[in-house]
Amino acid sequence: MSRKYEPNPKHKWPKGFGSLCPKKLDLTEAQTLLDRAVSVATVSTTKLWSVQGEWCFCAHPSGEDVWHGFPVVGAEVDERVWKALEQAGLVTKAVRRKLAKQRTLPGDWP
Amino acid sequence: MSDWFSRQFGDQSHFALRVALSEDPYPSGSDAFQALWGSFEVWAQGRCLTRSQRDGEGIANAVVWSMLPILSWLSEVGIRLVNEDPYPRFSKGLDVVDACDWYERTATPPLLDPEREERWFLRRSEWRHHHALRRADEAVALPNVVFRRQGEAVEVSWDNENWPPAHPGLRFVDPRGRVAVAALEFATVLLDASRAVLEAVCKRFPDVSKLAELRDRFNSLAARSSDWRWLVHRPTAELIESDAELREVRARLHEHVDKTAHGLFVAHSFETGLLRQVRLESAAEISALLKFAEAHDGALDPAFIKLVRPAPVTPQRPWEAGNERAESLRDELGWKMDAVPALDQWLRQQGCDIEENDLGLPRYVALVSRKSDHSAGVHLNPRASLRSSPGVGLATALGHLLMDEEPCAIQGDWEDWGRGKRARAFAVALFLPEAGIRDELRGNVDEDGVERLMRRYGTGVTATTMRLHNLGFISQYEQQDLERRLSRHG
Repeated sequence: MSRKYEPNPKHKWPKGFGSLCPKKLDLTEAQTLLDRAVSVATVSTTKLWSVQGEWCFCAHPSGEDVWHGFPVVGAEVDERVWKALEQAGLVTKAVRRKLAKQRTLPGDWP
Repeated sequence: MSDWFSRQFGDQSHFALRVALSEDPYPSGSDAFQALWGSFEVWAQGRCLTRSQRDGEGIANAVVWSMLPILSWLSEVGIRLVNEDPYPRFSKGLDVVDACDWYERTATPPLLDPEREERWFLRRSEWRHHHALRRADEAVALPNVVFRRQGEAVEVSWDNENWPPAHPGLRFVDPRGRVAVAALEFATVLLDASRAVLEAVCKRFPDVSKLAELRDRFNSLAARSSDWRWLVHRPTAELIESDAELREVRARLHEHVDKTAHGLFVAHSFETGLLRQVRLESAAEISALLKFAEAHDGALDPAFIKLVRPAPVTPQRPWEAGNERAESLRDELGWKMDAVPALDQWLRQQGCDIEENDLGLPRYVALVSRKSDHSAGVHLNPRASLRSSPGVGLATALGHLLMDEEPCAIQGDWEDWGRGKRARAFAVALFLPEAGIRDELRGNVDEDGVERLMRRYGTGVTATTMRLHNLGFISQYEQQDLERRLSRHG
């Protein structure tokens, strides 16, 4: 069954409380990120992880195969997740090491 | 948004959590997630670590989110969060100020082959997961606060200056700092808050099974006999658990936890207080260290005992207390601007045991053990590669004896940053009193003057130039330059 992305206002401008999605991220891009996201069972059975450029994302379930997502600063991504993202071919070793040192969200959405 | 539950746990001037529960304005997620929607504040030593400001808005004390991921994380990591004391391997040699600093400084790996490098990053990440509030849930805009056991305290450190939240336009008000809170109090607040919140929410939402499961998990959460292992380095704990030679130590530690554990909290014993400060990887090393620390029989002179005034380490600029104590000790002992007497003889006259033989232990500099108020021993390790003279090493040991609240100190790669800084500042200030330096240099720092100082006080190049730099008489560049030129003279 395919995953479906649905935005969650908790992660959207202007009134979100949590980690905020880039303003320019559109639904198609978010769905693409979700489609290629990986699951890392040793970290969590209910989360998915994805990456694009310098942006790392986590997705949580909102319902039956419905997901919402939000960005995560690279240094806060578990190393087991980075390893899985590298094994899935979503990042190279060099990019992984660079992003694992990231302390703030990137400035602009690519 | 009106709160249906609001309560503070603990004392804001020590450590406190304030939790409020309300309606989720954008209902989503599981029933349990929505039931625990609300806000929380973290307080340490009177500072609200969750206080934040959003662009164009006023200041708010609380982080608004569901408590479900926070409580789930706490139920998973609670025992380690409260008790895990030493940093993982490869932290040694780093001048690490606090746990925020540790994560920052270990971002570049040590020199390792690829496989070991991979293992190191996994271990570092695992440590962060068990100690950093942000690892409770990546979805929440949380301050970068890290909790780490340090002796009988929990160090609470935060860095929002270099680590802003993943929420542009939001900033946490307190940028950077660290405080120490009593570990027992910290652990009690965490457990009481979690249990009370879950009790209240289960009462209001009796049909949500996930809440009842979490409540039951917290109600049965308590330190077990083997949880002393978090208080010492991992290989040391593994050896004590498995090596036949150490079975008595193991039995004592299990018994200690059974008698003293309280909820999540495990108190340090004499042994764990010592072993947390040095990474030992053989049974023989562990036996030798404990034997020395427990067997020395120095009987301290009553006049010396009066000089022992333990005091907590101030998290900011701990060296200042060391400088001040050295000056006051000189006054009390009538040393004025004179050179310090031969410290080994002087300490022996005070009844302190000094061991200088090789005990087969790793390359720590010195071990200080105050077994009781009346007995103290110092082991000067001949294996140590000393940058400073043995005299300064002994003076540092004296600093620990006179000022530390903890009965044992091991100067070396795994020492506590604050205690180490304070004791070393004490040692250098004891050898080189400010008044004596001013008297000798008379306003001019040059090679001849520094050599006169070294002769007068029997100090080495490094300690002398460092003292001049610490007093602000020379810049760091001038210190390095002087050290280089004076070292050439031999």
